[in-house]
Amino acid sequence: MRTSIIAIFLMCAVCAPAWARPVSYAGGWTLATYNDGDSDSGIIHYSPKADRSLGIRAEYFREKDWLMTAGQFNALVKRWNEPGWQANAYVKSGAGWAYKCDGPPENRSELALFSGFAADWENRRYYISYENRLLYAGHIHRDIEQKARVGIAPYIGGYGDIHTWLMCEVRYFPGMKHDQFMVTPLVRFFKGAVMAEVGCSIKGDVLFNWVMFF
Amino acid sequence: MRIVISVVLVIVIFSCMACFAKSSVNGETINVTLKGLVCDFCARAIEKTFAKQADVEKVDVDLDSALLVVEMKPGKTMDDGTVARLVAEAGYEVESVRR
Repeated sequence: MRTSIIAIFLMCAVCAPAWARPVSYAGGWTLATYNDGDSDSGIIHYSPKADRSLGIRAEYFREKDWLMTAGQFNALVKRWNEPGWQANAYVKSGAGWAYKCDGPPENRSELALFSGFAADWENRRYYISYENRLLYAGHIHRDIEQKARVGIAPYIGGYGDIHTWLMCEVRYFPGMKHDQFMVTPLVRFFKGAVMAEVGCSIKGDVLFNWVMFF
Repeated sequence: MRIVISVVLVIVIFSCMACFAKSSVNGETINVTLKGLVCDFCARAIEKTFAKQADVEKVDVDLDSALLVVEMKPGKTMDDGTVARLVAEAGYEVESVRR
């Protein structure tokens, strides 16, 4: 197990990181939904500048049957722009309320806090990313999650074309007794202002993410 | 012979006038090579940032060559500092500017 964890961290450290960009261009809005084997979430963000965004997030955790609604702040800590490639480092944090959908009424809500680091590197052919999140919701839920991705574009499209990426996502849940790793092959499509991702984990959980920039 | 020379001179003069008229009508064209331009999202960010400028007539982005082409309105210009600032506001960097 320790070897696996070290391998993931090394992979992230060597190759750098990502996820769909949490920060848009100045004056841009981002509307997104993420659905996978663990949770379903919806996010709307506004970026006053190209290095930060502010928004709200609602996330439902299916297995433990609880809901989180929170305000979220994303900051682009560092961007590396080079000819032919780009890399980013982000910090994403938020605070709100967690609500347990069952159990005694007096114990159903808690303060929810989360924070995480995300990073990515990409050129027009290859993509690699890493993200983690520490989530605290009192007695309802507390854990840390890590996620890494690698991707390759089977063809290089021009501006305005449909861009396709073949990716593999590995998620790691150290707090779980079983199924600590979730491996999900997926396909990403990007055209204009819309991005969609469709995948299926090796356990059979469906992944569907949809992001729109405007 | 004199007629031929006269005709050639008239053609040259009209060609020069046409070129001058075209450049005046189209405004200045600025070619900017960018760093970090790797995806449609990057291109869109650049395009939106420059298209919002009142003096800009047209913006084209070519992902293959990482090239931004800004066509200014007639009589308008944009200095290199402003180009670099707008590119930075969109989140990217200028590698070179040609006019």
